[in-house]
Amino acid sequence: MRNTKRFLAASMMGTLALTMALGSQTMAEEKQKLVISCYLADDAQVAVREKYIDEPLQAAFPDVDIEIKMYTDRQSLQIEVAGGGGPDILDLDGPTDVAEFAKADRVLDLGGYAEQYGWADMFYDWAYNSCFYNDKLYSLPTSFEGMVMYYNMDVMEENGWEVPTTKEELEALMPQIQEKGIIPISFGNSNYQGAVDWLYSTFTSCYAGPEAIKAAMEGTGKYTDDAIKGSFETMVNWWKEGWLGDNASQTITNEDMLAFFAEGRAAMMIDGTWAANQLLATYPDCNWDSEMMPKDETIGEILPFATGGGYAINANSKNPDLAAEVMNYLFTSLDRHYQSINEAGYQPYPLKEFDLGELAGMDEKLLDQYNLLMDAQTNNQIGYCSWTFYPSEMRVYMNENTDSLFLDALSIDDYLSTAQTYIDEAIANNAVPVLP
Amino acid sequence: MNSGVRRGARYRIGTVIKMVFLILMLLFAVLPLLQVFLNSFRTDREVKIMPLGLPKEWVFNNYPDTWQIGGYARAYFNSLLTAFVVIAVVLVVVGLGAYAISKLQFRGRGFFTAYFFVAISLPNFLYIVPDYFVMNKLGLVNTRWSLMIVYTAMQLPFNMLLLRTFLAGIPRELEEAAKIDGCNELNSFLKVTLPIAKPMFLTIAILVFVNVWNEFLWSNTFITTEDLKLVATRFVKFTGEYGTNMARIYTASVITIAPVIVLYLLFSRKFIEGMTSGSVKA
Amino acid sequence: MNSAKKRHIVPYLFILPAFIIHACIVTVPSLSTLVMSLYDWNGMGNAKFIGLDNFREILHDPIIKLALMHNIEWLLIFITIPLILGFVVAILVSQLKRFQMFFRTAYFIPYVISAAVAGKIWTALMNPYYGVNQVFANLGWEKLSKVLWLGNPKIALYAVAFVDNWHWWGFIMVLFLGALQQVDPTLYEAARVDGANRFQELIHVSIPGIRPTIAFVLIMTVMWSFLTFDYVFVMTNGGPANSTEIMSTYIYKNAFVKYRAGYSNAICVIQSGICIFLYFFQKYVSKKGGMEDE
Repeated sequence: MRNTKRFLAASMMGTLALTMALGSQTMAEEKQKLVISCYLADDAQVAVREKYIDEPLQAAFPDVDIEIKMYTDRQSLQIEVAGGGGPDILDLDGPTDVAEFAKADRVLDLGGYAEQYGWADMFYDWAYNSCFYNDKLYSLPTSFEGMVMYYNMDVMEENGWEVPTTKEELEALMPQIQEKGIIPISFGNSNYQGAVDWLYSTFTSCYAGPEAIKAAMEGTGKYTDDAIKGSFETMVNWWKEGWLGDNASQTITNEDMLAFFAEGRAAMMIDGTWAANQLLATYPDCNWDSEMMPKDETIGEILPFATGGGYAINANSKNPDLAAEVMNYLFTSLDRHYQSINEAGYQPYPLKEFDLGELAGMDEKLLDQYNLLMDAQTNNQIGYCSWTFYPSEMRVYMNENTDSLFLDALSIDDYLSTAQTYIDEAIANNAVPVLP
Repeated sequence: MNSGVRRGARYRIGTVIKMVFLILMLLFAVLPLLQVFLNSFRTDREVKIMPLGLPKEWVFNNYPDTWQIGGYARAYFNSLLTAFVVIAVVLVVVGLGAYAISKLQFRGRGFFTAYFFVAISLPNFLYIVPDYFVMNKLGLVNTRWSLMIVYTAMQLPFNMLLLRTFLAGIPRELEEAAKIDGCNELNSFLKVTLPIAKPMFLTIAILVFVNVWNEFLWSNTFITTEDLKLVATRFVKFTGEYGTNMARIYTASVITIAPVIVLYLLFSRKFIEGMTSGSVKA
Repeated sequence: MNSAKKRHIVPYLFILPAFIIHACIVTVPSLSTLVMSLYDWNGMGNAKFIGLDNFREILHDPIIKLALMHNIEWLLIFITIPLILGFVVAILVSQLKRFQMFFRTAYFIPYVISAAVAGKIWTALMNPYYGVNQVFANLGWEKLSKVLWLGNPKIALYAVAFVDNWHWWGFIMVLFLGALQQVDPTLYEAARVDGANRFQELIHVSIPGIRPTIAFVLIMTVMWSFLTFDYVFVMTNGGPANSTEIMSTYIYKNAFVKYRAGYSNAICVIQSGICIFLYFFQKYVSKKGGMEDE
C-alpha cells in the first residue's frame, strides 16, 4: 500500500517535471511560418510532392518556413478554421466546398490579389469563373479533371468485344459481359458514399446533356425535366441490372473498385482522370484504355469537367499577402508543374498557357487522357461535375441519397424535386456557380 | 457409488462442453486480429486482391519500412508520456472523487453522481471547437499540455462511475473500523480502500491507456508538430499517405496496437495477483 | 477548525478536482456550443439566430425518426447479447483453475483495438467477393454466400452491431469477472453447507454479490446505445440508404458533411436529453423497486 502511494507521488512529480521540460521546448521561431493544407496522397505522390512542391517552394521563399500539412479528414481542418487557427492556404475540395467557407467568411476575397497578379487572364474562363461565389473570387482552381470510361483491354480483347461508341452499343454489350460472369462496370462507394457524385455527374452530363443542366442551374429549366429524369432512370436501371457495381456497390470500397477493374473481374469503370495515375502506380501491368463515355446520339460525346480542388486563403492567416504570393508562384512556375505531371501524374492546372507539348515522353495513356481533356475543351464538349458546378447543399443532398435510389428507398421524382428546391434556394441567394 | 461415477462422467462432459464453448469464443475474438497480423506479411497487391488468407510468400520488409516512414519511435514516446501523465492524474482525481460519492455522506452527493452520468452523454465534437479556440488563445495548441488536459477531463466520468460502483461493494465496516482506530478520511481511504481497490485502479489505468492510445480526432487537431505527434495520429496520417498500400496499413495497425496488447498482458498478471490478494476476507 | 466542520469540507475537497476539471474542459464549452442549436450556423463563422426552427425541423425530419428507431434496436441488442454472453463466460472462466488469465486476456483483446483498425478488417471479412461469403460458397451454402452483410439495408445494422459486440462483450466479461472475484468466498461456503447446487449458488450468491455491477452495466448500456458512433461510422457511415443511420452518425454528418452545425447541435440537445431522461427514469425505477444501484 505504501508502495502504491509512493509510486503515485513519484510518478506525478516525475511526469510533471518531464512535461514541463518538454513543453518548454516549443521555442519561438524567427522565420515567418506559412502552412499549406493538402489532401491525402500515397507514398510515391508524397515523395514527388516533396520534390516538386515542398523543395521548390523552400528555394523560392528561403526566408519563410513553409509547411505542407496533410489532412486525412475534414473535421480537423474545419475545427481549426472555426477555432480561429488553421493553415494559411487551404486546399479545399473544389468550388462547392470553398463556398461553405466563404459563407462563413473564413476565406478571403481574392479580388485584390487577382488584379495584382493578373490571375483572370491566366486560367481558362470556365475554371476561373467556377471559383466565384456571390460574385467574389474565393479560390484558385488547382486541377483540371474529368470523368471518363475506362476499359480493361485484356478483358475486352479476350472476349472479342469492341469498345462501344454509343450508349446503345454499350447497353447491348453489358448483358454479354454479365453472361461471362464479369461485372460490366466496376463501382463501389462503401468507404466514401459521396463517390456517387462521379456517377450522377456523368449520367446527367452525358445522357441528359449539358444544356439541360445549365438551363436548370440558370433557372430557365428545371432539374425535374424529362431529359434529366431520363438520365437518372438510365443510371438506376443499369444499377438494378447489376451492370453498374454488380448490385453490391455499397459493400465495395473504392480500392476494391479499382482492383476489380485492374484484375479483370470487371470490364469497365466510370472514374475520374485521377484514377489513371492510381492504375499506373498500383497495377502497372494492367492493359487499360480510357475514352469519353459512349455517346447519346442526340447529344454527342461529352466529358464532364471539374476543377478538383481550389486554393483559398484562410481569413485567420497572419500573412495573407505572402500566401497570395506563394499561390501565384505555384501557378507561374510551369517547369516545376510540367515535371510534377510527368513524374507523378499530377492533374494539370487549368492554365491557358498550359502546353501539352511540354509533356512529351511521358506515359502514353496519361498523355492520351490529357489530350482528351484538351480536345473536349476546345470542341466545347464540356459536362458538369457536381463538386464544381452544383450548389453545395444540392450536392450534399444528392451524394447522401443516390444510394436510396438504387435500393428503392426513394423515388427519382422525389429525389429530383428535392434537388430542385436547393437550386431555387441557391438562385434566390445568388449562390449558383457559374456554368460555362 | 454408481451414481457417483455417473456424476463424474456427466461432470466431465460438462467440462468438455464448457471448454469447447470457451475455445470457440476465443477463436471468435482472436481470428480477425490474427488476419491483421498475417496481412502485414503479405504484399500489397495480394492483400488487395484477397484480404483474407495466408501469405503466399512471406514479406518481411513491411515492418522496417513502415516503422521508419511512420516515425513511430518518437510517436511511441509521445503516446506513452501522454498516457502516463493522464493515467496518474485520472487515478488520483477519480480515486478521491469516487471515494467521496460512494462512501461519504454530504450534501450534493446525488448531484455529483448524476452530473457524471449526464456528462457521459456529451459527445466530444460539442466541445472540441471551443476548447480549440481557448487553447489557441492560451498558446497551448501544439503542446503536450493541450492533449493531457483534454484527455484527463474526457476520462473522468466513466471511470469515476466505474470505481464508485466497485467501491460501493466494499463493506463499510472496514472503513468504520479504521476511523475508530483514529484515521481521518484521507488515511482511511489510503490505508483501507485503496489496497482493496487496487485491481480496479489497474483496470482503470488500462482503460485510460487504451483510450488515450487510440484517440485521434483531438490529437490530430491539436498537435501539428511532427515531433509531438502521437501513435494514433501517426497511424491516421499513415493511412492517408499510404491509403492505397493496404499491406502497409495492416503493418501500421499491428505497430499501433501491439504495445496496447503487450502492456495489457504485462499488467494482467499483476491484475490477477492484486485480485486474489486484495479480495475481501473480512 | 473543529473536526466536525473539517469532516464537512473533506468530501468536497475529494470530489471538486474531478468536477472542476471536467466542467471547465467539457461541460461549459459544450453548453456554449449547445446555444448554437438556436442558430442557423454552418459550423465556422457567422450565425443567424432562428429560435426554435431547428427543433421544429427535427420533428419533421424522417431521418431522425429512423435514427432513433435504430438506436432503440441497438439498445435491445446490446442490453441482451453482450450482457448474457459476458456473464456466462465470466462464470465459466471464474470456475477454471488453469488458463484463467489466458482466456480473460484473449477475450479482452478486441476491446483494446481501435474501431478504425477493427472496422477495416471486419469490413473485409464481410465483403461479398472475398470475405466469409467465399468460405460459405466453398461449403456449398449458396444462400449464405450471396448475403450482402453490409450492403443489404435489412441486414446492415445487425452486421455492424455484431462487430461492435465482438469488441464489446469481452469488456463486459472482465467487469463481471472482476466483480465476481470480489464476492466474499465465505458466502459460497455457507451456501454449500446449506446444500446448494451450482445453479442455486449462482442465483443466491453470485448474482446478488455483483448486483451493483449489473446495475451499472445496464444503465451504461442504455445510455451508450443512444450515443454509439465508432463502429457504425467506420463500417457503413449510416448507409446504405440510411439503413444504419443512428443519432450520432446523423449528428456527425450534419456537422461535418452537410455544414449544418446548428442543426446538428439541436439534435445533440435531443440526444443528451434522451440520455438524461433515461438516467433519471432508471433511478426512479430502481428506487421504486428497492434496488438502488449503489
